[in-house]
Amino acid sequence: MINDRLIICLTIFIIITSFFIVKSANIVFSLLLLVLSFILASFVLLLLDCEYLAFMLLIVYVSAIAVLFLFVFMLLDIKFKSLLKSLIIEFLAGYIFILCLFLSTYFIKFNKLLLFFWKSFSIFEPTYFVNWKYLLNYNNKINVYSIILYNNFVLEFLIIGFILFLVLIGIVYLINSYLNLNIKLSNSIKQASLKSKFFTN
Amino acid sequence: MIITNIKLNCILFFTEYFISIIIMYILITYSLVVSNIFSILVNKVINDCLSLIFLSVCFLMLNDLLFFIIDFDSTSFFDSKKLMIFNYFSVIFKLVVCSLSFVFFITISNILKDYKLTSFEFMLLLLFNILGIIFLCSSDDLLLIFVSLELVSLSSYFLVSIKKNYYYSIECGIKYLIINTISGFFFLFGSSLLYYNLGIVLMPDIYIITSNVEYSYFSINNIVFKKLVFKLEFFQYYLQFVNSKLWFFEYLLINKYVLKNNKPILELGFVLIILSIFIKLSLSPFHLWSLEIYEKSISVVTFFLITLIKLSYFIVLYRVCFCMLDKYNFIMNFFLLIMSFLSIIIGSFGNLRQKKVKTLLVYSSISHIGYVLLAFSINSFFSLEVCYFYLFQYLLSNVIIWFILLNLIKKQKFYQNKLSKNISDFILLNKTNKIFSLGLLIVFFSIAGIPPFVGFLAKFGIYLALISEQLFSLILIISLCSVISTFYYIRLIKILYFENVKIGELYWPLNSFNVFIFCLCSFIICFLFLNPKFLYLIIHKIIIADFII
Repeated sequence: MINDRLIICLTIFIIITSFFIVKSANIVFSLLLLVLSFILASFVLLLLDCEYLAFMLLIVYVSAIAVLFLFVFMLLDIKFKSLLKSLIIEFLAGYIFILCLFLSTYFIKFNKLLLFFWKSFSIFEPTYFVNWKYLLNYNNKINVYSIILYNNFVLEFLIIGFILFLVLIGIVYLINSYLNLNIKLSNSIKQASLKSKFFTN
Repeated sequence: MIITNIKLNCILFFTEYFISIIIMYILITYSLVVSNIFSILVNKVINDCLSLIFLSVCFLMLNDLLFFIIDFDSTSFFDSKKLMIFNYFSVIFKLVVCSLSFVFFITISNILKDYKLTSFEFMLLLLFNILGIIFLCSSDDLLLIFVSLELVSLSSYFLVSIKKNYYYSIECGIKYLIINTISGFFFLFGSSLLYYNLGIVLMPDIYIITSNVEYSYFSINNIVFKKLVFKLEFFQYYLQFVNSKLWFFEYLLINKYVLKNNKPILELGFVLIILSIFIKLSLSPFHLWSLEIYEKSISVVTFFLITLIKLSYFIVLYRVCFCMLDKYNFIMNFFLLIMSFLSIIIGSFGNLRQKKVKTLLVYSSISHIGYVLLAFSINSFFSLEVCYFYLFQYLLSNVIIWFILLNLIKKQKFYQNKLSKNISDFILLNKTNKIFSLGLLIVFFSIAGIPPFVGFLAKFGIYLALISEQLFSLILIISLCSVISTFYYIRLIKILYFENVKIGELYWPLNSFNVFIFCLCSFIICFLFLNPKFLYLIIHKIIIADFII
């Protein structure tokens, strides 16, 4: 099917972009790449028939957060330095971890996976039929989401509201400074020494 | 009939409603009060919190029998999905959480000025945390558990970094955030894998599927599976197909659904969920973050983190292992056994050269949670009883230790006073404050497991449970570890009583009300050795509630 091939191509692109997000020294470039990866992810979601989630991803991450971050970084004018030397070991560790996670599951069904890839890229596979009965019972998707959200997930919805409320209170408390801020820095050499009496408060 | 049903529903959700409404009340009233004298304001807030939690404790004590009477299927708000479960387990744990937090608020009430915590946001964060833990006690859905875990963990980040003018408290808050979000990611990933395989997140349904059926090969005639599949998405099409006699096509559809079920991915989901809880409980391979964070945050917060939040994570672990997983799932038991064994060893050996009291207590908490999980992993009725007994006993003794530690405030000016203590600060406490030293003596003997106190009975029970499973080599190593761990408990007692020093510290005496609660707790520790039936009866009821579903 065409959908499967497209999804595989898009996921490969997402992995490449996410690799370059971490690798690139310039923060602005990495943010632009982040935006690109989010857009690609929204395409994948569109192909999987989740239009609502795709548009939510676009609206929330791309328009709100990423643009805000870009704006902040433009204002701050940070000096960039190459992080690549320190990051190589971490990259290796991360990729080995991911490999260990997924190879353990797919190792048993490796033949099946190969077959799946073969099927998805082979040209001579006959196309599937479109099931027309799915299209007959068409309902507006946002309507369906709202019905499910307010019937089955009321409690989760309320608790998420509480979480947002809590975050607002906490952040306002941490930022607001009606006390005189005399920031006490930690001295790592003193802490490491055996006879330390550093934690005096 | 309908009206009575609505009333009963209100009773079921009463504690949650009550705490959430009171949070709003406190926020609105005290943010509007304009006063520069913060200490008066804080005292008012604390009185509100105390009364609130005392009321909820009383409510739960009075209405614990009522939860059996109600027929939940007809009265639940959420008829389509049973998100919450209300049995004796949830009621008792709500009661334990409420009473613990009540004691916590009492211990705080006099100290806050000395710790410079004169803002009502601190109380709000604590109340949010308690609300999340109470939601965790009765949640029966993986999504609900995740959301309420987030409520608990998010408020605890702010609690850790509450001292915003100290550099290392904020640093600790960020570290705590990173680690907890990683474990949250594991939880979400595991639950999504489960959803991918089974198409459902409700825990009892997952239990039914994984226990009754071999989940790699679903038989189509199975009733449970048919119910599940047709309830979700196939029901409409099913009817149409039956009418048009296209049953072969339907068979193909179901077959396509079944092909998704692969055993290794499902097991990976289970393992990831349990791993996330292990990280949060700070068991031995994942314990390194906890030492730094518990040491550097304020000791008021460490008290909260060690007792209440660890209790909440244990509740989640119990729910996951006993309501979702198969009861005789040997892989999980093996994992639990290894983790608890490692954590006992590290908790007992890491403490030998420790001089700070907080890190000593953190190491001891790691080892004691290891003991609890050791009894938990054996999976017999008696071992579960012992596990709960150990947990409650440990919580009680922890309360007394922290009560004393927080109330030891020197008779000096504030800038000379250090609030996190070394072991050497206990020198000559016997001569200045006799009750404090007596309490510490009782608690440390009971934790070490010496006969006239409860701790002996709890450890004895765990050894009995291990002997019944014939794990003799494990018993030998664990008994050696417990012998080593008695060394530093007894060293503390030696510092309290038998030290040839003539220069000591002077401390402020206790309040009369505080003395009452302190004496009650230490009396219970002595009394439960003589008659532990009271606790065992409650524990028996809890376990029966989950064994007979």
